[in-house]
Amino acid sequence: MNLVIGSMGVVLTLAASLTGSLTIVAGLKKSRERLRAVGAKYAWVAFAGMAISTFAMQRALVTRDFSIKYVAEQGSSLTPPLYNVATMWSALEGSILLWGLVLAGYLAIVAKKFSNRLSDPMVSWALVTMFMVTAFFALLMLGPANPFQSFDPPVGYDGPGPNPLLQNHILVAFHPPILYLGYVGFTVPFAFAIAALITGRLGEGWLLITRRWTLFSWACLTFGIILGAWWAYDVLGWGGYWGWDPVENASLLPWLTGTAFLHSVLAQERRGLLRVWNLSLVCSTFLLTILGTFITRSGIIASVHAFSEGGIGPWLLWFFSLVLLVVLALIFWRGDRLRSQGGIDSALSREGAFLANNLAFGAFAFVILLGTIFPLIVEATQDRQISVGAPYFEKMSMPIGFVILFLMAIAPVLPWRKAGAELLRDRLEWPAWGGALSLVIAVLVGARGLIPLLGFGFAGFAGTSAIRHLALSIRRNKMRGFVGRSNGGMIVHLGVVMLSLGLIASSSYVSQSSFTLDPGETVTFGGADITYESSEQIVYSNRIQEKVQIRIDGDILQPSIERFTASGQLVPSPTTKTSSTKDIQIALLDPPEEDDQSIVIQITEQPLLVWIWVGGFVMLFGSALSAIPSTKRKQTVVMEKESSVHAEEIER
Amino acid sequence: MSLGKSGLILFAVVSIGFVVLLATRGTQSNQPNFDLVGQPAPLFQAETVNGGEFDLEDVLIANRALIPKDQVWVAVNFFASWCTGCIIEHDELLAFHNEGAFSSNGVKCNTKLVSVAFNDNKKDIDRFFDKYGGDWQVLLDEGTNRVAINYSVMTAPETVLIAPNGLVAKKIVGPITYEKLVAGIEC
Repeated sequence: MNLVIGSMGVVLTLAASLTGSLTIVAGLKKSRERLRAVGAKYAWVAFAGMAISTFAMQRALVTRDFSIKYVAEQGSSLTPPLYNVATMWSALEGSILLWGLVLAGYLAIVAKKFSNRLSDPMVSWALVTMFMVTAFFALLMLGPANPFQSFDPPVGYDGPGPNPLLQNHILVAFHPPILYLGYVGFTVPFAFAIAALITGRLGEGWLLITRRWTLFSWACLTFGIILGAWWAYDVLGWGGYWGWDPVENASLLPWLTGTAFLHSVLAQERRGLLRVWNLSLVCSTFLLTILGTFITRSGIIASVHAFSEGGIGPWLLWFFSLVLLVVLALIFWRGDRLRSQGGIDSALSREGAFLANNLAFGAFAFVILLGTIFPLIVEATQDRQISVGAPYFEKMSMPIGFVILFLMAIAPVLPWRKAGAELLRDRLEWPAWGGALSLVIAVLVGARGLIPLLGFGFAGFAGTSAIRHLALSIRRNKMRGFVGRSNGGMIVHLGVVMLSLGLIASSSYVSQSSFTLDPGETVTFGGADITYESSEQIVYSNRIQEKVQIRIDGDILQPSIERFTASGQLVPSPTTKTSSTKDIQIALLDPPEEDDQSIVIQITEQPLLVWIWVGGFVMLFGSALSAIPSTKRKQTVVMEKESSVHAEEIER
Repeated sequence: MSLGKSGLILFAVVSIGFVVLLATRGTQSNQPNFDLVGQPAPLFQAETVNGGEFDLEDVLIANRALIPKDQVWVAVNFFASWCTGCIIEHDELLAFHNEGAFSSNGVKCNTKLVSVAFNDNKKDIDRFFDKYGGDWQVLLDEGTNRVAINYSVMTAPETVLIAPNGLVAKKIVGPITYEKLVAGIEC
């Protein structure tokens, strides 16, 4: 039953997407607005299809309907309810279904939001583009990533349940959907970029239309990535949160180009610069989401996290090539109109800083893409297998990260067009003191080593620059000084500074030790007294938990090991004592066999680690603030500008 | 032709090359194989951290020329310097490496221990062995984890015992004990 409903939903989405795009194209060709309006309505049908499929999948998972292969392979009667829902995104087919649902959701919202602007060919073409992408994902679900294949379960069959690592932390339920909201959301600016190329209206109109969509997607992607790191830190128990795995890199790549785009867009809006560049960045961001999915799902790169399943690889590669071809052909065709109206007068200007920012982010993305696919290049040319590990990525990303922090300090004080040395000296005085102060504080509290100290200095420099901007803005506009693009942006910058401090300190000053403890025994680690108090065993439906009580400076931590009944796999559940200055994480490595026997624990201490997560929340908060218009006056200016741009484009 | 257009064409050519590169790579199976025990051990060869090389096939071929008493049992230990279960089992591995294993009739069997690093790097591996001792061959499987994937290793430590005939005799998930590892070794 679920199987039939689910499959019908996918077919409905495919049919609606194809019909919708064809209807709108027909409406465009015959200049009939009515047809376009009808076409746009199909967005809702496409969304309904995905909603039905998702409902069927969730129903199948909750009721353990093992007649669906996906449920039989991923579900289990032992999985607790919350993780049962999350099982939908624990393997390939279900993830593609989630992708389809989010995409169709965006499609429907875009259709609704722009329902009164369908006379504008740009909106129509954007919808066509989104319909096409939706159709592709529906096709995937009918072909190589079919979530609704049938399975004939033997009597008494029970599935294995998702990977135990994916069912012992609450973040598993939130990290993938939020990440997908970001990943998939970049389809909207991409669709409008394609529409701008097709209609030839390459001015600033499409940027203004998609501004908030891009910002929303970016914020979700940022937060999704950070939640993923948080999950890894909380679950894996060795103090790590980022491993430069191809799967992680795949989520970082579009984030980097997306971040570059959010900045360079300003140079185009204000000065009409970098037009081709901005189009390319938006298209690259979208292409990188497809490429990332291809890399992690095709099996061309061996990774413990990238599971190749079925024949989805060639499909994704075809789609990637097709989109790339379309983008290149459109840019080639529209080459003449893409010329920017002016140039950058001086490197020492806001637009110059944005360009430098883009080069840094571009280089960052290139370095990571290269590292991820380098094993393939070597394999193709030299017939041997190599691998690129974390040391490469760390070595390459550190200097780029410093450049970005430095630019974060300089750019906000630079005026458009040209800055004099006098002005720079004046405006950078406080940030420079801030940088120096943070360096001195770091040394005073005992931080050593050139690279981390440099990092603290740059972070202080960038942080003070953002605070300076906010302070001036608040003095002028009171509470409204917090909102608006540049002010919200500065709060995002503060989040980045916090995150950088957390990253630098926690990775540079890790201390880790393991101890064998008898009940009642006390050891000291990093100045704290650590006592093993007692242990207990708790039996759950799907696992047995061995839990111990450890007293650390008066607090009780309860790390545990969970043995999952179905797979026999052991999953440690570390616990962390967090404070603003340091995290102490305790993982239970060896539980006691009898009540009075010894245990083995591993303790990891990392300074300032919590600021990574705090920084993530601040970035999310700042993104929300920057979506609010800063002043009433400014908004009317934008609207006037938009309509004048529109008029100018129609004249052409 | 303008500079922009030639740039675009150059980019297009690079892109085509890129897509061709991706399209022509063989896909590797990353499917877990949990029924490893009793099956032929997946062959592998890899560089050791000290610049040497280990090839499982060489050991198995050499075994064919030997009488059963002299044939070699290979224990493949997947470990990482960041993994504390690996610290716990290290003394047991040292015991296996130093004392070997004895057949039920008291005969000492030929054994060989190799460790395969899991998501690790040479610097940390060297530090690990300096600290905890041991001078057996350690293979770098850095980044690709090809060997680990072939043996369906989910996380370190896991240990696979390969019989002289090349079949996997047992797989121990989690820290080993000496007794668990040597149980069933006959020669």
